[in-house]
Amino acid sequence: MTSSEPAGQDPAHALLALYDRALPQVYGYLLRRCGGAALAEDLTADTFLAAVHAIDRDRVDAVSVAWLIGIARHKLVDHWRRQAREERRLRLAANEPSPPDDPWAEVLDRARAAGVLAAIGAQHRAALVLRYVDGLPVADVAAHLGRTLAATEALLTRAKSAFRTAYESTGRRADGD
Amino acid sequence: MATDPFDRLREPAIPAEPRPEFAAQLRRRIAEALGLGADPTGGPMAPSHLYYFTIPTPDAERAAAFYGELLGWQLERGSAGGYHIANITPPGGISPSEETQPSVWLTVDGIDAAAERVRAAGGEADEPVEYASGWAVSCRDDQGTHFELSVPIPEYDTEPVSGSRPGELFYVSIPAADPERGRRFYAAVCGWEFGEPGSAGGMHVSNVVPDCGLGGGRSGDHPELWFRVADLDAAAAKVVELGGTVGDRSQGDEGRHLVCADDQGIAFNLSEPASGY
Repeated sequence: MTSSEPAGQDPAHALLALYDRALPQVYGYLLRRCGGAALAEDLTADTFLAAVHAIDRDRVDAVSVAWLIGIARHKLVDHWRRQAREERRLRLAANEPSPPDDPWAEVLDRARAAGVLAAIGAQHRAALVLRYVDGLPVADVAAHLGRTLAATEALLTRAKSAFRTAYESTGRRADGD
Repeated sequence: MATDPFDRLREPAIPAEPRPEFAAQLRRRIAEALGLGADPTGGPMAPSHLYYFTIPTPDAERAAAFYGELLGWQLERGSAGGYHIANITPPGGISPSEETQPSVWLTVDGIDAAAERVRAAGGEADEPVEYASGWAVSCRDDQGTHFELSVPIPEYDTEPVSGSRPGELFYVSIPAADPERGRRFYAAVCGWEFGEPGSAGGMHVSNVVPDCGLGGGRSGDHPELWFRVADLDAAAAKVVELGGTVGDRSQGDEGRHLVCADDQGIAFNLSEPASGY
């Protein structure tokens, strides 16, 4: 970063100028996916400071909300990765059921689905949020998670199965009729 | 092919407002990390305090006579036909100007970084100017209210003190049609923290002296200044005797208040503080 650049062209100034508009977008993206305001604040701070770091290393041509959301997604995946490691330590044995063959035709209730997403394991949550909530292609999900395409497809299958089991159990509790 | 039920989960990023304190703190961290407005001590930004106010007026001599008589101000003739009010804390000035709305001068650590914060928060900031009293930049907040940010010379950069004697500031009210927006702006620019919203959403600033607040739902593009008097009724009679006019009265736990205009038609306000205020 050189101070001789005009303010309008300088990514550092552009980032600050964008801050007010970008902050609710980045925070809102993270809040809806990580499920807690305190965690969303931490990840939002990580996101913007990572943006500063990228600007410092002259790796940025133009700052934009979409670019910041991309960084936020990386931060979210990093968080889930840490969380999944923690869960593995806590779990004595991962005994996941094999996926059922029958197609699932349920129309998902969004509020209920959000609760289920927050409750399942971090690795499964990461896969489902990237693939379905964010709508990324499987190849992009694989890249974010640092897995092969085949491993990601297998993870998605297990994640959907875990989601479905959890979703149906909350349904039995919630549906009075 | 049947649609995947999981496609229902798709959700675009829905914006959400974080806490204003968090937003302000993160902005400072970003500015510091970018090398813009870095605090030389490395600590958090010190909250701005009000160290000076000015009453601009077309006829400074006439205003000096009016306010000197009404509020007991000792006025020292300064440069360019203005007056410095020497016997009150924080001090103020009367300046000759076609502009007839008061200004508040708020301290900041670095003038360029402060101007940058104003612009980044959606406000307007002119180019900083060097005065005898220090560097200052004329600004408007994101709702159009005018204020000055300044790095005062050491002589003026004293410990902030709240007024307590007649003739000194009792309260400064910054109009904020949208108080929540005002809160975000001043948290980001001045490092101010706010109490719980009161009437019409107005909020008191909890970490600045003299006492200051956002006037909720009130429009206007300049701060209102409220000066202490010992006896509101006697002061009201004096205003009229000196050729001014008096307007609405109001009352609260903190005291009795009166809206006035001086003998040139410039608005100002008086407060008789209740015991303990």
